[in-house]
Amino acid sequence: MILWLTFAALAAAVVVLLLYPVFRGGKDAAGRIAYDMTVYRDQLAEIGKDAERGMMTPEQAEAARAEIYRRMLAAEDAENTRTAASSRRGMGRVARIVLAAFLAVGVPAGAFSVYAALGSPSLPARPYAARADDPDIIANTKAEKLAAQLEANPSAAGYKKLGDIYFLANRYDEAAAAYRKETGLAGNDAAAWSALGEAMAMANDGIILPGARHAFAEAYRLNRTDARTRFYLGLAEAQHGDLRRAVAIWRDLQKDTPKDAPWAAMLNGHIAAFSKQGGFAPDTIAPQPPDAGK
Amino acid sequence: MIPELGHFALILALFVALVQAVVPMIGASRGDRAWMGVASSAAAAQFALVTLAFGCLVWCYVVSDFSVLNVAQNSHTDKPLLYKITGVWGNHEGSMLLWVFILSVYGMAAALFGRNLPPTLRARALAVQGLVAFGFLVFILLTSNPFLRLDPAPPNGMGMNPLLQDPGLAFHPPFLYLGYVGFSMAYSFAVAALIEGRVDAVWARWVRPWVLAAWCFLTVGIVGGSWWAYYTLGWGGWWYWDPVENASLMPWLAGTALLHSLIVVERRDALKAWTILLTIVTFSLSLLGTFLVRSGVLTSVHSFAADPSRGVFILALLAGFTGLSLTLFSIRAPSLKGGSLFAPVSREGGLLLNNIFLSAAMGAVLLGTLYPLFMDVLELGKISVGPPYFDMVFIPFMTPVILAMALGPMLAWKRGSLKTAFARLRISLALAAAAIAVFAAFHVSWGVAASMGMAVWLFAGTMETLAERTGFLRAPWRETKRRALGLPRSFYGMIASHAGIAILIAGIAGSTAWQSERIQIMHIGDSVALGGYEIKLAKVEDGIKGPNYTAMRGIFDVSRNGVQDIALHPEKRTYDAPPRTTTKAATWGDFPHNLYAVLGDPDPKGGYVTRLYDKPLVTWIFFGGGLIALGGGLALLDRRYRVGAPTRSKYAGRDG
Repeated sequence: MILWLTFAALAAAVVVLLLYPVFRGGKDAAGRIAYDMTVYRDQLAEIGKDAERGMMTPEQAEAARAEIYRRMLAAEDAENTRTAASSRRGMGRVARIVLAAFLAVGVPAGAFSVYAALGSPSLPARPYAARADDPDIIANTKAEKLAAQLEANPSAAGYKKLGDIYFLANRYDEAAAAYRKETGLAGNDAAAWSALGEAMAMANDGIILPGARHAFAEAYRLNRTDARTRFYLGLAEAQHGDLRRAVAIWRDLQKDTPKDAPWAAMLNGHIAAFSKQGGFAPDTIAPQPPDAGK
Repeated sequence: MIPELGHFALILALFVALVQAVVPMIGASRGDRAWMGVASSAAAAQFALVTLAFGCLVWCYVVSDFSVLNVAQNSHTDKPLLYKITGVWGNHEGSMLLWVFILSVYGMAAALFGRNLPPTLRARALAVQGLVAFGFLVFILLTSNPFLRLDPAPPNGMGMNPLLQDPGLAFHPPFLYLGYVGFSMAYSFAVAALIEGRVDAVWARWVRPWVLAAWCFLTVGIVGGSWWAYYTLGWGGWWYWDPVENASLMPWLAGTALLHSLIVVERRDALKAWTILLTIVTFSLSLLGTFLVRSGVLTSVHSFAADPSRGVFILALLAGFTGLSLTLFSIRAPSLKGGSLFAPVSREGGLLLNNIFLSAAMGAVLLGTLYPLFMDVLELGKISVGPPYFDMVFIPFMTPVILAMALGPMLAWKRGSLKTAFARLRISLALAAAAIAVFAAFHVSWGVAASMGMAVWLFAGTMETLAERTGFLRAPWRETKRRALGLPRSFYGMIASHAGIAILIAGIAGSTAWQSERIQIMHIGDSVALGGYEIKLAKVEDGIKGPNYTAMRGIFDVSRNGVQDIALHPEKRTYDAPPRTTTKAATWGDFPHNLYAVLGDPDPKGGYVTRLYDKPLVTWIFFGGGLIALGGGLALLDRRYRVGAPTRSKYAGRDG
C-alpha cells in the first residue's frame, strides 16, 4: 500500500510540475529579435574593445562593425516578415484545458499501465544486511567464517562440517571441494570419500562421472557395508546402461537394509522403477555386491 | 520498495519525455507560450525522475540487494564501497541508465541556463532532447532494464570484472558519456534551427558553449581512459586503435572540427550548412560509438554483454535520429545562404582547412573501424585492421592540421597574408628546423625527428601568437600586462589547447622513439639495467590480502648511480568473485623517464617472468591531453557566453 501511495505522490508531483506553465499561461517575454540584438550589441562592444586594444586597425574594426549592422538589419527584416506572416497568437483556452487534462490523466495512466506490465510490486527489497534470517545467508556467513578458520588451521572434522554446510545450501561444487580436502587430511575415511562422491554427483545434476565413481569405489574399498556408497555404485551401473547389474547391487543392499531405514522406500522405488524400465522382474535378478576391485 | 520506486520513476520519466518531445514542438509552431513552457518543466521533471531512478539503483548496489537481477549479476558483498557505486555503470544496463541520466542533466542545464535563448528555439531544442530521451528510455525499459527482479534472491552476487575494479571506472565512463551525450545538445539545437529555418551568427554563439562543454568532457574521458589502459592493462601501451577507442575518437575529431567551424559561423556568418551537417555527424558518431560498444558487435572489456536485440535497437535509434535530421537538412540546406566571402588564405580559410583534414582523418578512422565489421557481416571473412593502417592514414591527414594550427591564429579574418604570418613566426620556424636537425643528428628516425619538429613548431608558434597579441617585449611591460588581462578567455583557451596538442605530439614521438623494454625471468636478487637505472627484484611477497583478492607482490628496488631511491610494487591479483587474475603494473616517473614494471607468472625454478619498460615522455601524452581539455574549459568561461537574457522593455509585446 505504501508503495502505491508513494507512486501516486510521485506521479502527482510530476503532474503539478508539468501543469504549472500551462496554468501560469502566456506571460509575454521579449521577441526573438530582442535575443538577436542582445548578441549583436555584445559583438559590437567586443569589436570596440579589440580596436581600443590595438588588435584591429580602425579600418578593420569599421568593416567588422558594418558587417554586424548588416546582420542587425537582416534580423529586423526577418522579424517583420515573420510577424506579418504569422499572426497566430497561441492556441487559446480550450486547447490549454485539453492539454492540462491530457497531462493530468495521460501521464500517470501511461506510467501505471507500463509499470503493471514490467514491475514486481509485490516483491520487497532484500538488502543484504536485512537478510540475517535468510537460511542461505546464514549458511553463507557460517561457511565463510569456517573456511577462513580452516585455511589457517586445517582439520578433517572442520572440512567435513564445511562440506555439510555447503551441501545443505545446494552449493555442491564448494561442498565437493571441502570433502576432497577432508579425504586428504583424514587418510582412509570411507565416509569422507562417499560424501565427496555424492557432492560431485549432485554438482553434475546427479550424473556420476568417473571422478565421482572413483570416490565411491574408494569408499567401498574401505567400507563394504556403507549404504550410500552401495546405492550410488548401483546408480552408476544404471547410468552406464547396465540395469540388471544396478538392480542386483540394490537388491544386495536391500537384504542389509532394516525395514524402517529412512532410505528404504527410495531404494525399493528405484528397484521397481529400473526393473520396469529394463523389462524384467526384480525377483529374477540375483543379489550381488558391487565389484571390489574397481 | 526502493528498487520498485526506481523502476516506476524511470517509467514515469518515459512519459514525461514523450510530453517533452511533443507539447513544446506544437507550442513553438503555434506560438503558444503555455505549451512551450512545458519544455522547461518537463526537462526539470525528467531530471528529477531519472536522478531518482539512478539513485535507487545506486542504493541497491550499496546495500547489495540481490533481489535486483542487475545487482546480483554484477556486484558482490565483498566489493569495497567505491566499486559497489562505480559498479553501477560497470555493466550494460547501468551504463545505459547513466547515459540517460546525463542526458537529463543536460536537459536540465538547458532549461536553467537557456534564459538567453529565444523561447521558440529553446522549446524546440528541448523537444528534440525529449525525443532522444524517449528513444533511449524505450530502449532501456524494453531491452536493458536494470530494475528487473529476481526471486528468490541468491545468497551473493556474481561480482564484477576485476579489470574494472579501479578508480578509473569512477571517472572514465561518466566523462565519456558527458561528452557523447553533450553533443546531443548541439544536435538538438541544430534540428531546432533547421525547423525554424534560421542558422546565423547568433545561433552559433548559443550553441558553442554546449559543444565546448561536451568536447572538454570527451577529451577528459578519452585521455583518462588512455591513462587507465596504460597503468592497468600491463602491456605498456596507451592507445591501440581498438575499435572501441576509435568509437570515442571519431566524435572527438568531428567535435573538434565543429568547435572550429562554429567560430566561423559566429564571426563571419559563413560555413553554415557545413556546420549544421557537422553537428549532425558528431552526434551520429556519438550514437555509433554507443552502438559499437553496447551492441556486442565488438568484444572487449567495454562490451559487457552481447545481445543482438540490443544492437538492432540502437542501430534503429541511430538510423532514426540521423535520418530525421538529414532529411530536415536536405529540405532546409538550400535556404542556408552562406553569408560573407573570404579569401582562401585567411583565418576562415585556415579553420576550413582544419575542418577538411579533421573530417578526412575521421573518415579514415571510420573506414578502418567499420570495414572489418562489414566484412564480417557480409561473410567475406574475418579481417582485422590494426595500428599499421591507422598510423598510415591518420598521420598524413593530421600533419597539415598541425602545421596550419600554428599559422592559423596569425592570419587575419577575410584576407590574410602567409608572408606576414610566416614572418611573425620566424622564431618558431627556426626552432623547429633546429629541433629536426638536432633530433636527426641523434640517430632517431626521420619520422620521430619530424614529429618533434612539428611539436616544437606548434608550441613555439602558439607562444609567439600569445606574444604577438600581448605585445610581449615589443610594447612596454605595463602595456603588455594590460593587453594580457584584456584578452578574452577563449583566446587563452585556444593557446592552452594548441600547446597541449604540441606536448601530446612530443609525448607520443618521445615514448615511441626512446622506449626501452626488458622481458626476462628474474630470480630474487637479480638486477636489470634499464634507461640508466638499475632495477633489482628484492623480493616477492605472496598471499597479500586485498578486500576481495589475494595478491602476489613484487618489490623492485630501483637505483640510479648506485643510490637506491625508488621502489616499484607491481602485483598479480587473483580475485575471489569472479575468480580471475589481473596484473597491476607499477609506474614511477620523473622528468623525463617513466618506469613501468609488471610481475608475471613464477617459473618452476623459482624465478619470475618480469616485464620492465622505460617510457620517456609518456606522461606528456596525458599532461598534453589534460591541457587540451583545460583549454576548452577556459574557452567555456569566456564572458560572451554569459550574455544575459534581453530585458523585456524594448521589444516586448511580441510572441517569441
